[in-house]
Amino acid sequence: MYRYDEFDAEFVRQRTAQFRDQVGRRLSGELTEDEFKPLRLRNGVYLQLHAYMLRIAIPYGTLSSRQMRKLAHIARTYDRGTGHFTTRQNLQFNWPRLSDIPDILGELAEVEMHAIQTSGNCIRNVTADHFAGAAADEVADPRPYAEIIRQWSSLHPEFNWLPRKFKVGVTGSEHDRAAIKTHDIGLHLKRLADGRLGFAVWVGGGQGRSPFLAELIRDDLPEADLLSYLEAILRVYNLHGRRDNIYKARIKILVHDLGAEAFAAQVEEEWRRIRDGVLKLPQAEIDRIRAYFAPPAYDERPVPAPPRAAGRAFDRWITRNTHAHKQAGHAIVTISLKPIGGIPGDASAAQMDAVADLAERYSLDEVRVTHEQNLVLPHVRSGDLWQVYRGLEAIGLAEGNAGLVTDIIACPGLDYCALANARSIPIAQRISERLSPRQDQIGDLKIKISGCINACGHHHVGHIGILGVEKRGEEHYQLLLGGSGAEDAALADIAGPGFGPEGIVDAVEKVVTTYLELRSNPQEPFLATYRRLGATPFKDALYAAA
Amino acid sequence: MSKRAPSIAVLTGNRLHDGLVVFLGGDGAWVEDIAGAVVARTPEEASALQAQGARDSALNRVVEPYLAEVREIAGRLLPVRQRERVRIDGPSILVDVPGYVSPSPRAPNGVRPLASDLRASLNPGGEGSDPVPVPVEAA
Amino acid sequence: MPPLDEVSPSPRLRGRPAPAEAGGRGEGQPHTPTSAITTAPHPGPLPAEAGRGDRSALVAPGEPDPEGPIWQGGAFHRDAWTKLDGEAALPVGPVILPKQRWLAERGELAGCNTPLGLVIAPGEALDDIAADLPRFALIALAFPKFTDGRPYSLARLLREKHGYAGELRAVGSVLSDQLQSMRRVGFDSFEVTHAPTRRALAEGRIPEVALYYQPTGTDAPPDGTRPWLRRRAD
Repeated sequence: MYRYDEFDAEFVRQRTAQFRDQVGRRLSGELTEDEFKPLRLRNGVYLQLHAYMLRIAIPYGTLSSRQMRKLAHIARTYDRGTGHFTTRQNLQFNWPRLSDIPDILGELAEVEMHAIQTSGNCIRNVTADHFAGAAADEVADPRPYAEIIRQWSSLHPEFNWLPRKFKVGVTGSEHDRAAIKTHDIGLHLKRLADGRLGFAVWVGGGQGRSPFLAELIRDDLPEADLLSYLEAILRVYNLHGRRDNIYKARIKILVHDLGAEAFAAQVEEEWRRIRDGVLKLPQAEIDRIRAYFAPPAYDERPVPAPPRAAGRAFDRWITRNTHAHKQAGHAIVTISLKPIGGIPGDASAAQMDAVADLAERYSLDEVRVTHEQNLVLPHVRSGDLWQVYRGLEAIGLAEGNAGLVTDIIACPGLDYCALANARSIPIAQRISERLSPRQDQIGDLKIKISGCINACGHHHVGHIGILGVEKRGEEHYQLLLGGSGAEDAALADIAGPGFGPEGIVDAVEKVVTTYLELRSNPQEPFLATYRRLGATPFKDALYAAA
Repeated sequence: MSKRAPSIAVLTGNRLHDGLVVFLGGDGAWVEDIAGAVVARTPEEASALQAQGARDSALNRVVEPYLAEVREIAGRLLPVRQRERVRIDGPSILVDVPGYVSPSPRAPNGVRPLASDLRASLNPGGEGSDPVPVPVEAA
Repeated sequence: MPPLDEVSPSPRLRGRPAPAEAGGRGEGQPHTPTSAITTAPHPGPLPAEAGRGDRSALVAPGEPDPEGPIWQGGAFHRDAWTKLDGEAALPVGPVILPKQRWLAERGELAGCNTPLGLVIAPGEALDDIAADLPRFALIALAFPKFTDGRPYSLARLLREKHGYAGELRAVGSVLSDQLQSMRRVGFDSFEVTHAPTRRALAEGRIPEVALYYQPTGTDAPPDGTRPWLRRRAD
């Protein structure tokens, strides 16, 4: 993985010192809240319902054990003992004191971490396939490019005051685990016609009040032109994105209003001017960054098969939570942060430390964070799977439910977030409890829950999506069906009138029961059944008079 | 809007240095307990509270103060909106699901989670306790 | 591409702070204002070269004055320019016109003696005045709110696409924490009315991050920008 050199380390140190100065000026009153707020957002600091919230960047979701231990230490020392992994591969702490945050950032800088640009109208954390560098189906590792983009976008002087937030995602596989079509810019790393590496460039995806899937604006961008092309896109957006209405300010609105062709034409015109300038990526630089992501030194000794007779729970976990690795004798492991009835994406300090130990010992010192709020051990020898499982069992994170109905994605919602209209976590907990007895029977089913229109729970691309709203002062929940964030991306359809907090759990159960009755065979997953039959049978089950 | 009681409000915001929820109290200080909050019972009183909030905001005593509607029931001030109930009582997440050890069983300021959302509270850990450390087995 | 050791600071990075201001490594030398300039009348064709790298055609900053509104070259100055609103007649001396006024009166203003400047609002285009740019010794880009980031792109287009070499001034909401970015995209003077920002500038207390991950400008970038040209610690 990428290692800071002296330049990177000094950059973060100076940025931390700059923010420490800004915090000091806020606490002394020299800066008003209006002046301070955009500055603190660009260092990941929100003011939420109960307290400040600090969002720490985990670039393309990759962490070392040393970094994970530092996060555990911060949770224990400065927070209330837990952290929350987010749908953008970041980590959030819910109780830091503003006066402590410069110290927290100083500690993060010691392990090459920061909270730069995790909020605000700027370029945010670049996310990538959480199986990058390990997946058997990968064409090329997208993370070197994510790192190059991360550097280019860090304190970019021209793009720090965009009309709205800007999210970039990268995948290196045909199977899109990074949900690139829901990003402002989605990049699909692939082989071009001449056999060299390059990108399909998708622009204008985004969820929120007006969800859109991205449009393909260039199918064959050579890798050397990556930064100049992005700069052209950002410049067109910065100049022409709407600034009069925050709900119309994302690039998706600009692309939709102009049309993809007209938008692409503007980008290409600017790009032609700058394409061969200072942003052209030298091959030596691409190779230099790629070298940081070279395959680790796999242990290639022969390994015994894991003891499959060790119990049904272990078997389930192997089936659901391990995935094919490009290196023989190895597997990718998903650590579900969704224990039955639990808070999706949360981990205690002790759990983080334990995961760090497992990563160091069994996964070549690497952990990943997924945009579905789980963790990944990317490089586990098959013979070690039993030990890993036992280690996870001891900390309550051994549920074999990756991708099942209890592997719910939920934003913090009204329990934490100042923007929320409704609570999402208790809804997730109740659904998980209610459906866990049948979760294996149900199979692949992604439920995604957002507590407000901002869609941080990505409900628009859930197989089942739930949107919390406020109706006449009470919490109310819309049900959506049939979305997908993968390469077959689709926006979910609203099923009909919404439900109250108890009713939505019943409604989800009714949808699931209907699916089980109507699927053509036990192997047909929910999404396929929905696409085959359409919404009608589900609406009938939900809304027809008894 | 309650039909039972007239609209009354308190002024609330977040404390600057640690972000915790505070209310404007009787002596002009910002207090953590809603029981100590000044209650505005008329539009004039509400405006006066807001003006005080604006002054205190400029003096950095509070961040983003606003009026929160409350009802007075049996001598207690209860916020009308769910949002305010969560701000006062802490996250309402269920901590009593069988078999689930919540990593964060404690609400802020030692306040109990909402009774209306919970079955009997199950709080296995005491102050500062963590789940059992991982025994990493020898290879 | 010159070898790294020989990269000289970009001449376009003008208005570089005096040593009292926190500065970036490898950035330009402090700005030395040229002597005051007069313009001869130019009947007929537009006077050329006023904004084209010919330093002798620029308008010098106003007198140094700690109460002056213009931060330039590491100090506050009185404003050598007058801003023209609405339909008022042109005053004596350097004058800044709104872009719409220039477009409306271009014919009459063509033969004027006075140094002219232009103020451009964030949503305004550059293409319809691109050919006129050499006429302006100063262009001001307005920041109605400091969160409106369009002038940063306009500044870069003026410098890098249109080759504008005159004074580029930030006006409107100009605050401490944006000054570094403004300089990097090509601004070299700043109208500062925000009192805490003025104090911070006067006291040399603008905290900056002196290392850049991305180049701006079209000249060879200084050390500390393009990652692949950075020197390593060893």
